[in-house]
Amino acid sequence: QDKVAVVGAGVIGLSTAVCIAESIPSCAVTVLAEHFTPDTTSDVAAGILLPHPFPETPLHKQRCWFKDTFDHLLSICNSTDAAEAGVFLLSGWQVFQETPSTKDPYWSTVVLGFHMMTDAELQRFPKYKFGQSFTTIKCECSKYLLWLEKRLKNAGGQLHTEKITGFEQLTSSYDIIVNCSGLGSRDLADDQSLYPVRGQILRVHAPWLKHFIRDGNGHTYIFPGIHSVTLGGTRQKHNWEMSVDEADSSGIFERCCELEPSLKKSQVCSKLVGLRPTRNSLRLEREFFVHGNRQVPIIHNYGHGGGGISIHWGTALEATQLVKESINWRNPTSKL
Amino acid sequence: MRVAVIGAGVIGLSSALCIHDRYHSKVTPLSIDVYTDRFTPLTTSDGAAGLWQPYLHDNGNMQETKWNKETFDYLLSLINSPDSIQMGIFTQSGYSLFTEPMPEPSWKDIVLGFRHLTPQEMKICGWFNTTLMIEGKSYLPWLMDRSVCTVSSPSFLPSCTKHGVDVILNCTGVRAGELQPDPLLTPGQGQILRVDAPWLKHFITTHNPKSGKYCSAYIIPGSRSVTVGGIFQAGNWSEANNSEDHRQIWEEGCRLAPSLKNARIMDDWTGLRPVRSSVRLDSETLQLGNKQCEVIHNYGHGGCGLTMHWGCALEAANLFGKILKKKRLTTHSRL
Repeated sequence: QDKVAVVGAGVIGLSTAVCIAESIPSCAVTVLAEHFTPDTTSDVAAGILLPHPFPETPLHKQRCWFKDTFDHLLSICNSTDAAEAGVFLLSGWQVFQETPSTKDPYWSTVVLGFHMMTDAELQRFPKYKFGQSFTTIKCECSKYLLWLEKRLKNAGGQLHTEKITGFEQLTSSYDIIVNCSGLGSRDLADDQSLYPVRGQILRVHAPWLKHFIRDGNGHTYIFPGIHSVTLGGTRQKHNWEMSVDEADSSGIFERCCELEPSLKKSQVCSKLVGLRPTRNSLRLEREFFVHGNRQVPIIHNYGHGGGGISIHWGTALEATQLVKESINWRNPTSKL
Repeated sequence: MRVAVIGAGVIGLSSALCIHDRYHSKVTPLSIDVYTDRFTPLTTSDGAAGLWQPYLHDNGNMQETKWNKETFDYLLSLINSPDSIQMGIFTQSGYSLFTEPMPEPSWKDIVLGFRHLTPQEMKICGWFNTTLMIEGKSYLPWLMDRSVCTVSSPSFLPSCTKHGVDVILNCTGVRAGELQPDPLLTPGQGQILRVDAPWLKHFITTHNPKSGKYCSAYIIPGSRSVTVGGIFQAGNWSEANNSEDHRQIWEEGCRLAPSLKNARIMDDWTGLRPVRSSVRLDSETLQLGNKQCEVIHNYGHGGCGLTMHWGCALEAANLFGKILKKKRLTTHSRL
């Protein structure tokens, strides 16, 4: 049996662990993390499937990861597992004050029913000139991560609460390491190109809201969830502040009420902060870590920025493939 | 001028409000009293899911299409107003599914973003659009607050001759036949389940031309619960829930949306749609004893009461205006 350690229990760590445990029966998978749901960055995210741009990753890869994730979640939406997994379809509008340069982004053929908003549809957004209407998926991590944990255990995997400060802690007990530590990789993998983009959100009670509304500039959004509506947001680069900022809260609330006036009647249930683990390109590759006389493959899968949930399954599949290749490397079939 | 409105469902209350708003400054005094034995939350309008969606075929009834449109436009104009949530109005998108291609409906340009489903979305034929929800449980109390009228039991309804009621608005829905026999009116009985499934954010209606209107499963999320239905039994007056209908609704609902399987069922409710070949919206003069009484009939809206209520209320107000002219009671008519 190959012992695989997955570092990190956010959406990336858990989905990668599940993917490995379910598709490589010879692996014994253990997830090690300091934080588990509901204390991960993924728990703060609204979880709407809408890709986040990686300036230095080829577009075809981004599209592939997004499509793999969308298709995977779509089949969960239509199954009896949907409620427990926290996955459901959500329709809505992305509106722009200035017509965007790309009217037909690469993901428009992945989401459902994508089309330009009609004049009648735009009338409800008087400050906006252009809009896109489509159906996508919301994946609520407070439920999804628990469901993934259950799936992992069913596949024989284990979960341990333990903060990993260096890969050398793992090299003697594990054959392969998968690094899904998000922002933690700044220290763990000594990667200074990784930085936080601070996002604050409000969760409000507004059960009459059935559509998402997002300003194309990414700064204002309304994402209805199962029990509350997420209002956002902020995109503060290099800001590590985890406590709630009241000026940000009022700004978010005001901007969202302008987009959707009925929100004035909503009650705020909670305010949260998450730090998006941002990098110019996603790091999804293998490197070899040498410790003493051990050479252990480490598969890195981090730097998803604001697009973790949107591409998680696609990157989990690719990371799993790298794990398979590492096993073959370790145990090549001997040729006579 | 004394007006008696019989019936406190969406039709009675909205007609009362419309007439009050248009004429209270032109006719003084104008007293409008609503008489009913059932008011919110126990009316048919309260039980309805509140989805704005006319039947697929208008049977060439241009008038009803006009009333549908007037209602939609009116509600849409209020969607960003401060009162919208109190009124129970909000937008919702969803799917209309068919077993075979259907001609596009008369209301395709009334709703927002109407389109055919893409092959990715469904393996069968259907449409997608954004429409409005109008929830009776919120709307009716809002209407009652706004009407300057009292609501009392019909046993207090004074006869035209004794207490001088000048105009009666007959908004009695399915029981209109008790006031005046109407062979065209029949109950369209329907049971629904109310389910706790807040992850559902789209309505899904299915249509099977062979089984008829409303005989096919539908799922309509609301602000407090999800309505699951699909029963239509013409001529059935029973308002009791029955387990056979419950089982059928639940099975078909779960087939339509598998995620429902683990949802908690909150309760059942059965209502009687006031079905008629066409809406009765007209006026007549009735001789009651030694006095003449004007009657405006506004009933028979079937499963489309909320969908067309405002257009009908406007028309009822028009008919009221004609009665005033006939009696030369408007201030405008003074020389």
